[in-house]
Amino acid sequence: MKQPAHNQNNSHDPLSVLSPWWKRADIGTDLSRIFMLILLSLGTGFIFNTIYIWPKQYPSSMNQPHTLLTQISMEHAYELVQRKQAVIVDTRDPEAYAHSHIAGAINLPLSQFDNYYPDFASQVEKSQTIILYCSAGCGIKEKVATRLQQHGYQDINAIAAGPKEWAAAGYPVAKEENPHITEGERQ
Amino acid sequence: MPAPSQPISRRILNNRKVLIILRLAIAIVFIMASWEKIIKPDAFADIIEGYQILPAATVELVAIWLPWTELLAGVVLLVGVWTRAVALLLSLLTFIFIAALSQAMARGIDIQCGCFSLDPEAAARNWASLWQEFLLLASCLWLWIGHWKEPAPAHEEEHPAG
Repeated sequence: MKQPAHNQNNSHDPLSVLSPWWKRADIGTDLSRIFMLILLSLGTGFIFNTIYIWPKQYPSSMNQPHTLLTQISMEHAYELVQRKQAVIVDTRDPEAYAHSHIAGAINLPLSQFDNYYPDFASQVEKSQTIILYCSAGCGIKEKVATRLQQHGYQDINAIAAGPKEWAAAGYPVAKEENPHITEGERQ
Repeated sequence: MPAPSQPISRRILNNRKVLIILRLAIAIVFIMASWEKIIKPDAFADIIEGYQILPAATVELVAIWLPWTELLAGVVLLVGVWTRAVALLLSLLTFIFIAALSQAMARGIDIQCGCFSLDPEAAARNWASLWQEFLLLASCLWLWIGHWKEPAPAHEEEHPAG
């Protein structure tokens, strides 16, 4: 028997008349739910960091603006370090420092500033020129600079590069265990 | 003898037991992947910065947002609500991870993934190790497609309600 023209293709299986996939996937509904999840996670992330992470990083300067650092080039930083006219300081976590750091750098991690500062202060005079770095583009060094200024350091500079860029420019990097990590911290 | 109501491919895709296992496995993977990034946002920001694709101003924002999206998506999947939407979100995220890793490796950047560990001593990623991300992407896509609505019967297509 001849089928009606509009139903010829699908008469053998009533379920095979497929809605378009985007209707079956209900993209519109799901995109609105995804948008809500993204907003919720962004809000939760900010609240969590405000309460638990950022106060540990710079407890006494929560509401202070970041210090305006003097940015210097890698070439200038290298010259100053070579002439022993500046101290170069790695502000990243001890694990990252141990993995790779600019040769001669002292580790002063933002996350453990209070633990590391006494050792740092015993090595670096407050009149000395300091050059801070973390990774290219990261914002940790500005927070460390704020803390150092509060302790009386004045001549604080920064390079917008990390060990990768330093090594790529042909300057020496070191990979060694952080001498500032104590036995207790290792365990 | 009655014809099967669905083609075999659709019956496999829609297998309820497989979908439950996928949902729980993906939920656990993303919850576990999120935790270290949540408690060490600075270390995660360093790794994101290493990919060299995002403007510096957005790195910290992504480091704060992304782990929480992974955690919330994992929890929502565990609970079993909004599964289709979350599966789509995680498919998109996993696709972006693969694209980001691939571009970094193609440019010769010695990259730490930051996917499941922030350990700087972790082995750098290579092309062969991408199978993990592709497996995760396939699982998320399966979970997404498996939760599409059932096809409408022919008579409903021809005379939609309302």
